[in-house]
Amino acid sequence: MATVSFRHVWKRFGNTVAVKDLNIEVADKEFLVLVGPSGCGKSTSLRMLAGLEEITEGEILIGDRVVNNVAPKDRDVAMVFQSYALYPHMTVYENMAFGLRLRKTPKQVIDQRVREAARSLGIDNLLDRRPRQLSGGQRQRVAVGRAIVREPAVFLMDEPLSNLDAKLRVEARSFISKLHQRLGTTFIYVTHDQVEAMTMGTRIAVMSAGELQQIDTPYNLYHNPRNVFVAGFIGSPSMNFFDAVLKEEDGKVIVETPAFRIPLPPAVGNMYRGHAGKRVVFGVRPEDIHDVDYQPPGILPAIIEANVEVVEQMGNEMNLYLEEQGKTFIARTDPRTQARVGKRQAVAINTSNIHLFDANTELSLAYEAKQAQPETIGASN
Amino acid sequence: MAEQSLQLEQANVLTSSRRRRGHFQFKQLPSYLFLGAWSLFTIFALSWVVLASLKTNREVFREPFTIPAEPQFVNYQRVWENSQVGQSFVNSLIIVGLSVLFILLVSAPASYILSRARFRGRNLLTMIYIAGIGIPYPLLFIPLFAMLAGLKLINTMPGLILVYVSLSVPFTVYILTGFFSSLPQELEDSAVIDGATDFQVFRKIMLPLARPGLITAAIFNFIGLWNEFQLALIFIQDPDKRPLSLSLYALKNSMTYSGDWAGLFAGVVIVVVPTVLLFILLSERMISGITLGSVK
Repeated sequence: MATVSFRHVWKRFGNTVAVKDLNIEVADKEFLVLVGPSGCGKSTSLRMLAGLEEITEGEILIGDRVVNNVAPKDRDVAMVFQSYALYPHMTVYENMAFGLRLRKTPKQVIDQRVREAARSLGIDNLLDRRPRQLSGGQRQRVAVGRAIVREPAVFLMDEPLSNLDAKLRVEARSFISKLHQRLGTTFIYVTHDQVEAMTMGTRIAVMSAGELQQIDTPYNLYHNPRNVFVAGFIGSPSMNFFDAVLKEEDGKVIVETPAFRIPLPPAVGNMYRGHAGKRVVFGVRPEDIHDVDYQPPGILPAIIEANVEVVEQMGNEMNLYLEEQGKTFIARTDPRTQARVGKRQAVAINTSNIHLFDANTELSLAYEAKQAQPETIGASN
Repeated sequence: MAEQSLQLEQANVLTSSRRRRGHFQFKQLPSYLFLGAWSLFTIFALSWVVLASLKTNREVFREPFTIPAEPQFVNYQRVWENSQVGQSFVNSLIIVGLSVLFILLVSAPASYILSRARFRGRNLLTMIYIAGIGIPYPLLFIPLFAMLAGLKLINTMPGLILVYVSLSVPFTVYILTGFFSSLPQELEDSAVIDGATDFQVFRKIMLPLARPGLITAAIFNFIGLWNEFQLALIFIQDPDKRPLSLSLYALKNSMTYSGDWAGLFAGVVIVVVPTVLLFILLSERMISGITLGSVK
């Protein structure tokens, strides 16, 4: 059990900067997910924490100990790799016992821990097999088992689910979440899949180009992204963005894009009044654009019209690909919607859930204001 | 539910590995014919030599294509005892066995470091090793002789072993470097986190995984050195210390006077048997070793 801290951590490979001034404080027993597109520095950060990469600058602490110069084996961490990295020449039992044997743990203790872990993972009938005789799902469990028996202070996972097929991945997701609850250990989990991040993490650190973009709960990341990158990365289909100008007319705050004008209701408009006259990026999630005929009650709608280009029937909902003045965007609407390809369709934008970003800095204009609001429905933990 | 799908997946793993065996295809016919003819010729030549070695000298010339009337195992006994082939066989086993052992002891760690460690000048060092393969032995005769003479190792088995080891390391490093590079980096990372020291990673993880490569390298070196003649001829003069190849040469020379053809064939069989046995026992491992790097 331990906290983990990254303090002004940098990683350079020659002239390339892989991680830029990373600062993260992970609480004890937390499930922190590092997420970002490939090459964003998330795996490198994890490998620095594990001791597999040197830290160019800054400090990493596990508990209250600076581990920069501590050998990986003495950091009390266990890691599950994307390829599982099971030793092919050893049986499942030997794979799981390897770390304990190197630490000269007594034989009975090893045997007890391996069998107990194997039972809890449902792989106790596979202990005599070699990795190549196992399926992907079984290998994944062995890799997790190998980490469990070590009883480490911190669990590190580097994309452990990306080699599984879609169905097993969903099962493995809940399996790892349960494991975290049962073990009560700090988990740090790297993935490029925002669905994995949202479903598993108690907090999520979004990284891009070596920089931490935002670290927050899944709820806050979704509802109050700090910048355009986070807003676009979290959520699927991703948020629609429009270049716009923020105007104030007769005391009303208005978002004006080449395609449409949206007057903001006072409660929302007041947050942005100080930015009137600025060029902004206007963001709205597909799930906040509704068919006018089926808009949910209680929203503050702004109605616009657009051409329907593609209709995707998903069963529980409908994805509409809309176009207006050369700008395409997506709406996730009620499945009963009557929208037809080639027709005009009136849609209602839920103005209480819109996002505005500075066009130059790409930072959210209402980040501080929204951060002060309490998390409401669905707030995690 | 989770259990069920895991089991299902396991079943798929099993059937797909069963399905992998290829079937004969018509377009492979020419290559099968060619390889078949080659095999037939090799089997014919080998069995002819074996049969001739069991005949009397008279039979060898009178009835070259028959089965010996009465197998003359005495040919082997005669060659083994009188022509020092027996002593040479033991010498060869010692010289080649120890050489192969030392070659692997030196080359395996060297190749591992050359394929994995990050240090300045690694590529240059690898190049220098590989360049060693291209040097023709005759160029080295005189300098090697001078060096061994200085070490007082001329006409000794350790001297010849030293020469064999140093001249075989470049080729072996070349093969093994390829092997070690083909092993996944994550296994090393995982072992390091499990608590292994650098040496333990090498000894307990990488070395066992490189076993097909080590076996391949061992076989190539064994066969090469077992049949080696030039260097042995230069560095060994004493008949008691001769390896098998020199003995066979001496046997052939003595033929001028003795005319013992059956004995010569017996000698040839004695030389060939160990390498053939090695092939029979280890060929499958060797093939898997050769293809490992490319298939993965």
